[in-house]
Amino acid sequence: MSLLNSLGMATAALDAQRRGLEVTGRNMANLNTPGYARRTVSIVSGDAEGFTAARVGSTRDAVLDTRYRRELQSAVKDGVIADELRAVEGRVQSSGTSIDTRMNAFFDAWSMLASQPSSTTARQGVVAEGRLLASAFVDTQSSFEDARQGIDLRIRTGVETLNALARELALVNESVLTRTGNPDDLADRQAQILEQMSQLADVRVVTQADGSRDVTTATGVSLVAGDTSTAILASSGGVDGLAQLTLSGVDVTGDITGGQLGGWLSVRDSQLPDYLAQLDALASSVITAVNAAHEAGTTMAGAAGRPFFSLAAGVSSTAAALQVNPDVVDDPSLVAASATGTVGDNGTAKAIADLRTAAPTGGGGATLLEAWSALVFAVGNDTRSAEAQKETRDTVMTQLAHLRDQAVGVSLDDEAAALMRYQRAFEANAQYFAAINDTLMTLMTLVGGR
Amino acid sequence: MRITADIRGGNLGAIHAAAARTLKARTQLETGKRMTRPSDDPAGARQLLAHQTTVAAMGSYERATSVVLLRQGMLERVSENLLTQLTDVLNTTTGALGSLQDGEAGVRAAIAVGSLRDGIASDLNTSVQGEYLFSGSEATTPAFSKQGGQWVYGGDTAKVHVAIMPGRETPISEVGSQVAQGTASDNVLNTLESLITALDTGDTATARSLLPAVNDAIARVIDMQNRLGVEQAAVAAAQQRVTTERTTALSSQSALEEADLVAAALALNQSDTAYRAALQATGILNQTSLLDFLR
Repeated sequence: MSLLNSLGMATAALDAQRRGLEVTGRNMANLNTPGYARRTVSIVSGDAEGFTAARVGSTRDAVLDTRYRRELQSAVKDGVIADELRAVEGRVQSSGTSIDTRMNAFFDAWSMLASQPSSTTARQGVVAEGRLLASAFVDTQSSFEDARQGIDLRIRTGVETLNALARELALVNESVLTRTGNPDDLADRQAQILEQMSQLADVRVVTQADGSRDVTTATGVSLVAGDTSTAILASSGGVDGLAQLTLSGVDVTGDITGGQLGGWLSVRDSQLPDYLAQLDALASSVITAVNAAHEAGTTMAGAAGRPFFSLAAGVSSTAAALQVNPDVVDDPSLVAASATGTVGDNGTAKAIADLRTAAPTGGGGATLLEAWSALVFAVGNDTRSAEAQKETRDTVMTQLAHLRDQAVGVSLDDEAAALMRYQRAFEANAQYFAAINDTLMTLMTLVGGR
Repeated sequence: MRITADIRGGNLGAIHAAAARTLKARTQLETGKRMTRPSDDPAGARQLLAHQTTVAAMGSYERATSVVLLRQGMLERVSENLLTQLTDVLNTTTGALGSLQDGEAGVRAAIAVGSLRDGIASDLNTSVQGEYLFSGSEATTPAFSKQGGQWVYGGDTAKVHVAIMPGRETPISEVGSQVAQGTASDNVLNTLESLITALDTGDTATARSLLPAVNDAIARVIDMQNRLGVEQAAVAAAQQRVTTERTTALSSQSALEEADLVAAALALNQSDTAYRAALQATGILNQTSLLDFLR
């Protein structure tokens, strides 16, 4: 090897170590950059002459990324369900205003009327407690419905975010396809966007040979294909004007079962409608049982009892429409306590007071309060199940995140060691360069002196 | 093991988890309650509601019992008055029978019995909170009123009952006709009217013939007192049972609801230690790296 070749070799080695220093600096600079996969430098002997070259690569692990995204979709969904149901369960156990408290007070009032069947005051008490019970039903139904509407709003916002991410991914794909930009940086950005999309929905990712990433829903409807994205439309065509999601004309509302959107859709379309149906059924049982007993009785004036509860006009939900018959509110003497027609009889008042512990006909053997406790149990149990599932998913997520982090995360210890290594190698090569340069200078001096 | 930026950040998760456990244990200690929401123990929440219903139902029986006791107390006093007054009628009449030829003695006896009759009529028309005790279920109608010179019963023959415990009811009204008349041909007030006339006119035979009817009335009042005694004993027993059931339900409610304070204190200690350890670990991780030793 000639001295000039040695000089070239030293220059190549210096360049390789400089690249190493540069990558180390870049890794440290991106220590806290989300989605950044640390870069590695492979220094190889370039050719037969011993020239050294540095190849920069990314440590990204596609398999781990895929597993992480899958778990993320489920963990986020369980977390969202747990959060939303925690808010709902607070509404079924508000001390003093919950339906069980009001129902007990209502039966207490009837029991008091049974003790004083001709009392006007006791009748006013029955009407007042009846109105409070009806209010408790209306408030509970309204809070469930508010929760449903609030979640619907979050779904619409979530869809907008998902669409924005899809558009961004299509742009990154375009850069990949047109080879504008650093491929590793583009892959980092793709991974980061896909992770954000997975937080929102259970999307499927297909990596193409050209490096672009296509995204579909779990049922295969395309969201991003190469440099083209298709937006999910959130129309108000669902039940009760709730958001219905369509993608390329296909209704995908029921197809999204993961991520935040999956969690919100589950609570909005599954849990809350179940609770609302149970609440309506309970309100219906209260109306049927109380009215049946009340209509069989007679008022103080000897008239047949009218329905005690009625439904407000124009309201579809039974619980939301529940009210004390306005005629009875205006004239509490219409409260029927007597079963025989005599003023002092209390047969009807006792029959209604007994509904506290007796199962009404057609109630499936459960008392009205037991039916309410079944709803409280359902809310509590669903919340607890979601919390338990979230905890399990979090454990798996933590392990996967740890595995992935070990592969792609930036360690300051590693980078500090690499910094020293490249610095020392650079110094050594610089010394070598100087030595060859000195030798050449000596040679040139010798040649010049002749 | 590579200490990466995410591990440093990920440790914050451990801090948050430990802080959440600390907060939960502290809340239990502060409130003394194990269950603050249904999801803490869904099955327990259901049981809790069942106990609360039992407590409310027993409370309702207790309130009904206080109404019953008020009415039974009133009935007891009235029956004692009736007994005293009917006995006085007997004594006054018997005392006057030997001297009815003396017109003034007969008039005095008639006035005395008339006064007793008014008292008896007033007692039979006793009302509590606007409801007549001796009118059966016709609670707003006076039991006896004078119509066309005759005392007429205005109530009915149905007693009003109130539940004092599950499966047990007790009457809160009496049927006045059963007390004042029974199986006799006329009620005691009309009998007393006839007696007053007989005493006033010195009709010894008629006055004597009416005394057995007064004796029968006394027997019916005693019978009512006996029934009242039985019901009062039943109410006392029911009151005891209702209180016991209520206490038991409250105790079960507390057992479900209340936190094990020792366990909560231990949990607080443990979670606090974990919280401090997580803070310290994060502090150490964030403090040192190889860079610190290469300066």
